[in-house]
Amino acid sequence: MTAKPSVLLFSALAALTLAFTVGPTTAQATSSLDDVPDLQLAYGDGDAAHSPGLAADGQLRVYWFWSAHSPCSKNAEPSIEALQNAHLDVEVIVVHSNADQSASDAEDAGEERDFSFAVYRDEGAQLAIALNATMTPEVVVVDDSQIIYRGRPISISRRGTQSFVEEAVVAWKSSAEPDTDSRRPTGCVIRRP
Amino acid sequence: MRNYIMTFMLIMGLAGGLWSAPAQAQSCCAASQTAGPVRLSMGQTAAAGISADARAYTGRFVDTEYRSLEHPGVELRQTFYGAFRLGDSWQVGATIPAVQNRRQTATDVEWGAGLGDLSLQARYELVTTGMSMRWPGVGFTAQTTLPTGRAPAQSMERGTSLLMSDVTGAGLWAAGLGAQVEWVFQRNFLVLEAAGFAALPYTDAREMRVRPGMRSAGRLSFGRPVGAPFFWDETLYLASSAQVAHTFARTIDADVAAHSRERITTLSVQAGGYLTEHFYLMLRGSWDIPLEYAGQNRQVGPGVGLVLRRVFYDS
Repeated sequence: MTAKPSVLLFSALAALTLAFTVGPTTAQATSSLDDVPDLQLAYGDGDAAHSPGLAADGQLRVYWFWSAHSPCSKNAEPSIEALQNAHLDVEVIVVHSNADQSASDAEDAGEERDFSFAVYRDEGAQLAIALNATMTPEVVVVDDSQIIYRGRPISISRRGTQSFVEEAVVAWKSSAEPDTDSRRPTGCVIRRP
Repeated sequence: MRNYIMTFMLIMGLAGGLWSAPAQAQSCCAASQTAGPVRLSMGQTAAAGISADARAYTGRFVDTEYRSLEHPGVELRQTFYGAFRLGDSWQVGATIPAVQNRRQTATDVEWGAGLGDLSLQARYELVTTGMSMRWPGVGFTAQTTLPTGRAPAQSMERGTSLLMSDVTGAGLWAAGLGAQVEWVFQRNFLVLEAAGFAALPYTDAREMRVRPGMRSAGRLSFGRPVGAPFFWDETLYLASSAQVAHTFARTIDADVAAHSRERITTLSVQAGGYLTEHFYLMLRGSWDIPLEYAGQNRQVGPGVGLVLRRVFYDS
């Protein structure tokens, strides 16, 4: 076997693959929130509509992407209520984006499970697309100027629940450096039209 | 052994078709759970593990005619693997098997073992499975195989194995490209895969130029997640697959080598579940169809395997 040309050819192929691999992974498109239409209230008490955007000066806003039928999202629902109760000054917007579900699915789930939080319908998953939210549950936490945390909101294991989103909120409030500003979300895919 | 495999496959098929308990997981997750060992599902950042497979060679195709083997051979294979994600769309992985062979004739039994061929794989996800209402999941794969195992020529040169039980690799530098399309409908998923591989030509011990034949493979899988309270996410991931692999004839000094065309048609089933958030266990069985024209110039037989995977998430 002629090893030398083979080694050269496969080394070149491997290098090409690696270059091709690493290059396109860094870019992640996020379109402007200004273009996203208002979210409509689907369940609970709250304003009839919500205009997506950054938080008010000195405030925090959490967009919590939620699905009516995702078991992972359902398991995380107590953590939404816990976050709201622990941080009354933080605005938590629960967003229902799944294009394969309707606003009435959110309403039915809310009534069946008696949520204490309101749910807003993101018709056409436009907010999810703008913020590049891909799964439920997933959060995007914004202050008055930027995204401070995005991704996996909680981790549920046999040892208990760890709330990454609350850790991010607490770190921001105390002006501390968070452990990380993003975690890959786990759960169920948000279907887009 | 073939009867056990067929019974197992039948039970799994019936379970997948009839079991209607609600599963925690969605079908889009299930498609990746029952795929190859280096495939990561969307939320996972990395995985590592081992698979243990046993295969009995109970027959062979002489050209396209199937004949039972009077003295079946056995292959045991432990494959170590790892995979990690690069950004949202890319994942890369590697597999390296340890192989043990048992060969038998009317008068001799021989065992041989060694490291197999190292494989490097990359996958690019163009459309995430289940994310679009209009498009199916679309992914592309690239793979290279390095001849780290012991090739038949090396076994003969070594001269210690009369029945060549110490052959653990193909002895070829090969590379391939493939495409995968995954449909999710209601709670089911359907996966169509196609791949082509080419190996580099080489000069054999007789100083003759050998050009290995191109290899193509197609696979159709169907599956669904079903409710199973025993598992961590209360889901058993089930799938069944049919695969056809074809190797075109190789040439030696530009002449087509006799009986070098190969074909194999395999049915397989996979069933897996999460023991904990981080440990996934999968059982799989396969059966090469022993019907005329379903295979060509290949040894065939049933196989079973167990896959243990440690998965990692962002934490």
